Amino acid sequence: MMNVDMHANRDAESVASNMMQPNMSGMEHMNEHTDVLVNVDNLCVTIDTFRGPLQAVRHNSLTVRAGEILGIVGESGCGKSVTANALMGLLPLRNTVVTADTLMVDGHDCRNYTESDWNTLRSSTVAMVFQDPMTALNPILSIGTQLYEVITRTPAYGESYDKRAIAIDLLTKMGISSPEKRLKQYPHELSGGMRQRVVIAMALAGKPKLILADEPTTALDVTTEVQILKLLQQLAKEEGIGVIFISHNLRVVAQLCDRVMVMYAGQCVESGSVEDIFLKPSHPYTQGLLRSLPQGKARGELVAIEGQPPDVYVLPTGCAFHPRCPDAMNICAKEEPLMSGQVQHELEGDGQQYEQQCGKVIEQPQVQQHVYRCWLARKEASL
Amino acid sequence: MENTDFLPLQRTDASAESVYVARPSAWYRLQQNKLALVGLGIIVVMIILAIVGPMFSSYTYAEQDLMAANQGPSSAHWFGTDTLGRDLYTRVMYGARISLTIGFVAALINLVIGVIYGGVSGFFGGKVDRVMMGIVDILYGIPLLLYVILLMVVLEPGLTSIFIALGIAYWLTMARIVRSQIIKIKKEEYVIAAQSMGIPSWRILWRHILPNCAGPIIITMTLAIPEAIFTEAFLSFIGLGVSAPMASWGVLAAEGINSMRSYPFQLIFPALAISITMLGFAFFGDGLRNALDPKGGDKS
Amino acid sequence: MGRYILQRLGSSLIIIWIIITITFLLMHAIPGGPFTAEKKLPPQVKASIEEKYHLNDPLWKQYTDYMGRIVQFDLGPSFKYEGRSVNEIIDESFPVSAQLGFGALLVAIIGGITAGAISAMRPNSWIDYLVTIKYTLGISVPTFIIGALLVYWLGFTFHWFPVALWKGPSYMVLPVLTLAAQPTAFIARLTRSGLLDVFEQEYIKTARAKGLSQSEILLKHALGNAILPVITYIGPLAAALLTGSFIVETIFAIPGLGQYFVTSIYNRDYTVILGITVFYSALVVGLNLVVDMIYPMIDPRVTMQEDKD
Repeated sequence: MMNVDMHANRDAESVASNMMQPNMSGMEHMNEHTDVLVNVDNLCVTIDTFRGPLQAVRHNSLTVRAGEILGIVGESGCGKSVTANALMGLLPLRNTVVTADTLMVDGHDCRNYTESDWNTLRSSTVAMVFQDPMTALNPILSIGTQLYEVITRTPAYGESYDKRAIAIDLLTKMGISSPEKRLKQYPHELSGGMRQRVVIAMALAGKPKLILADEPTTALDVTTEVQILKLLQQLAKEEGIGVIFISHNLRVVAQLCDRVMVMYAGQCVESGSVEDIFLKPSHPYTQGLLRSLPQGKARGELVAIEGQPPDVYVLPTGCAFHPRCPDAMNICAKEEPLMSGQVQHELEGDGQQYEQQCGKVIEQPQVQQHVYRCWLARKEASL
Repeated sequence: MENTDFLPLQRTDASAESVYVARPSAWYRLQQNKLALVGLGIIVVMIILAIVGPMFSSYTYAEQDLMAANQGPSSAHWFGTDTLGRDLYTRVMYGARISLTIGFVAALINLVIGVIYGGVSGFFGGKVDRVMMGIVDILYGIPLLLYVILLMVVLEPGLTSIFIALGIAYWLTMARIVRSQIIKIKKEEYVIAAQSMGIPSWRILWRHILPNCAGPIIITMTLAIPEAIFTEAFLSFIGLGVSAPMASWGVLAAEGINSMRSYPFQLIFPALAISITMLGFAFFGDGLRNALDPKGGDKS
Repeated sequence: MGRYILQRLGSSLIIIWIIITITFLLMHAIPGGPFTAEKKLPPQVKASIEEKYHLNDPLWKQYTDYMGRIVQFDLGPSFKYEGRSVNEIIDESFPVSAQLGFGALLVAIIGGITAGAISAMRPNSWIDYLVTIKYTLGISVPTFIIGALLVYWLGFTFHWFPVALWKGPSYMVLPVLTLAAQPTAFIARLTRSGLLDVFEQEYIKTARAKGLSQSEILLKHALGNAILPVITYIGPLAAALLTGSFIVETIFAIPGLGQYFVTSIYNRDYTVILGITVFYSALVVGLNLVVDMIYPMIDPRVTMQEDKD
C-alpha cells in the first residue's frame, strides 16, 4: 500500500516537472556560462538490492560553479555519496539505474554515458577524493605507481613531461615531507593523514575542474582535518576548482562552503548560501540539525531530532520527514511537498498557480537562491 | 478539506515508528537457494539409500557367482555384476553405507579434536595459544596425505584404521577456524560485559562463545565430510582402502577402472554415486556458507 | 631480510627433522618389524637380512644411523629391489614426475587464473557457467575417475592421444590434463571469488575514478590483489599434485616416482616408502619456503621481518 502511495507522489512530481517544460530553455541558456561546472536536474538513482529496489536519490537537482564549494550535508544513508558518485558515473554498473532530466558535467551531456565515455571525463575534468584513505589506495602498488597512473593519462601535461617531477611537486604541494621517499613507499607505510593527502594529490594530478570530496576528513584527526580543509579552500579560491564537499559535520561545512545543500531520504530538502542555511534555516529538518549542534559559549540544551532516519525501502507517505517533524501538518502525511523559495512568500493565489511557482524554482535552481521543500512554505503563503 | 490540510498532524503511534524489516534469517536464505536445497536433497536421498537400499536386493555384497561374472545391467542385476559375479547394485548401496559412514565419522572426529584444540588455544590465549598454534603451523607444512598413507600402511587395514588416520590428519583446519573465531568473539563487548559481571569462564565459553562459533564450525564440517570420502576413495585406489569383501565407493571405482575397457558400467555406477554425492555436499556447503556468512561467502 | 630467510630456513629444517622422526618411528611401529609383515622367510635368511640392515640394533642406534645417512642425502637401500638404493630410484624416476608435475602446475595456474578472471569479468555469461560447471565437476569427481574417463574417451574411443608411458610431448597431454583438472578448477574458483571481492573494494573505485579502462583496472589493480590467495594455495597445490601423481602415474603407466611409491606400498617395501615420504615432505616444505619468499614481493604489506599470521 505504501508503495502505491510512493508512486502517486512520484507521478505528482513528474506532472509538476512536465508543466515546467516550457522553461527548460532557460536552463540551456544557463549552461552557456562556462563557469557552470555541474548542472543536474531531477536526478534519480535506483539501486537493486536483496530487499528490492532502493531509491537512493529522488529528484535531486544541483549546480556547481567554478571556484565554488558546495556542501552536501545529511545523515548517513541520505544519498549524499550516491549523488556525488552519479556525477562521475561511479555507481556500480550492474544494479544501479540513473536517470536525470539534465546531467551536465563541464558542458557534456552525460545522461547516456557508457563507462568509456565517463573515462574521458574522469580525472581530467572531475576527480574524487574518497572518504577512507585506508581503503582508497591499492595496498600492493607503490604511491608513485598510483600517482603516475593519473599523470601519464592527463593531456594537460603535454607531450614531454617528467612524471616523477610532477608527482614530487604535487606531494610537496600537499605538505608531504620527503616526497621522493614517499613515491617508493606503499600505502600501509604512511599515516592516515598522509594517505589522505596522497589521495588528494592523486585527484589533483589530473588537473580536474571539479573535485568531489566524499567526507574527506571523517577518518582523520582534527589537526590534519584543518590542514586538508585549508587545502581544499585554497584550491577553490586560487585555482578556481569547483568542489562538492560531502560531510555530516555542520561546523566544517559552515566554515568551508559557499553554498549548502541539505539532504534527507535521498532528496534535497533545503539549499542555499551558507548564510541562508545557517542563519535562516527554513526546513524543519535543517532547523533540527542546527539545534542539535552545541552552541558557542552558552551552555544551552542540546536538542536531538527525534526518531530515526526513515527506512529507505519503505519511505513514509507524503513528506519523508513528517514522522519526525515537530511542525507536521495533515497534508505532510498525504502529499510530497515541492521545492519552493523564500521569494514565494509574498505570492498569493490558488493552489494551482502556487505549485507552478514552486515548480519554477525546482527546475531552475538559481545559484544564489534559497529554496526548500516543505509544506510550511505554502502554509505561510496561504495565510 | 483544504482547511484541515494545514492543521497539525494527528499522529498515531504507527506513523512515528519507522518500519523495520529484519534481514532474512540464515534459514530463510538457505531455503531461497535452490541449489543448496538440491544438495541437501541429494544428501538425504543418499543416506536413505545407504540405509534401505541393500534391502531391495536379493543378493548380498559378498556373495560370489562366477557363472554370472561381468554381466551388464539387467532386471536380475540392476547395475550388472563385477568380475567375481557379485551384484553391483548391492555393492554400490553397501558402498554408500561405508563411504558415508567414513565421511560422517571422520568429520565427527575432526570436530571433537578441532573444537577442543582450537577452543583451548583460543580461549586461554597467550603462551598456550602460541605453542599450540606453533604445532598446528608445523603440521600444516607437512603433506598430510602422505602420513595418512603411512598410517594406513602401519595399521591393520580396515574401517577403524581409516577413521584413525583421517581423524588424526584433518582436524587442523577446524582447530584454526575455531581458534580465530573464539579470539574474535572474545573481544566482543557482550563477552567483556559478561566477564565484568563475574560470570565464570566455562559458562561464558558455553553460553556466549561456542554458540557464536556454530556457523563456521558447521561450514567446516560440511566440507570435511566430502573430503574424507574423497580421501578414502584415493586410499582405495592405491590399495589401502577397506578390506575385501567389504567395499566402499572408492574400492568399487578402483576395481571398475581395471575392467573399464571391457565393462565400463563397472566403473560408471560407483563413479556416479561418488560424484553425485560430492555434488550434493558441494551445493549444500556452498549454500550454507552463503546463508550463514553472507559477507564472507561467494558472491555468485 | 637475510636474517628472516635464515630463520625460515632453520624452521623448515626443524620441520623436516620432525617429519623424518615421525616417519621413522611409524615404520618401526609395524608389529614384528618391516620384514615379517607378509611372507614367511626362512629363519637364516631373516637373520642375515636383519644383520645386513642392522635391524637388531637398539632403536636409538638405528635412528641415529638413519639420521646420519640422511644428512648425507643417503636414503638407504631398497628391501625389495635387490641391490638398488632409494637414491637411485629417485634419481631415475623423479625427473619424469617433475615434468608431469611442473606441466600440471603451469596448466593449473595459467588456465585457472585466466578462466577465473574471465568469469569474474562476465558474471553469469556462458563462460562463467562453464567455469562453474568445471569447478563443480572438479571438486565432485575424484582424479582417478577423471583420468579413467579421459583414457576411455580420448584414448580408447577416439585414439587422439597415447594412453600410457612417457615417450614424448603427445604422451604428456592426458596425464597433465588429468592431474591439472582439479587444481585448475579450484584456482579458477579462487580467482573468481577473489576478483569479485576485490571489485567491491574502494581502491577499484579509485581506479575507475582515475579513468582507467576495464582491462587496466583488471590487470594492474584487481588481479594482483585477487591472486594473493592463489599464491598461498601453491603450497597445498604442490602437495595435491604430488599425491595426484600417484594416481595419474599408475593409471597412465608412467615410470615416475609416484608409481614407484604406489608399487612399494603394494609390496610393503618399507625403506622405499620411508625414503620417498621423506623426500616428498622435504620437497613440499621447500616449496612452501619458496612461496613464502615470493609472497612479500607481491604483497608489500607482508614484510620479510615478521611472520605472517
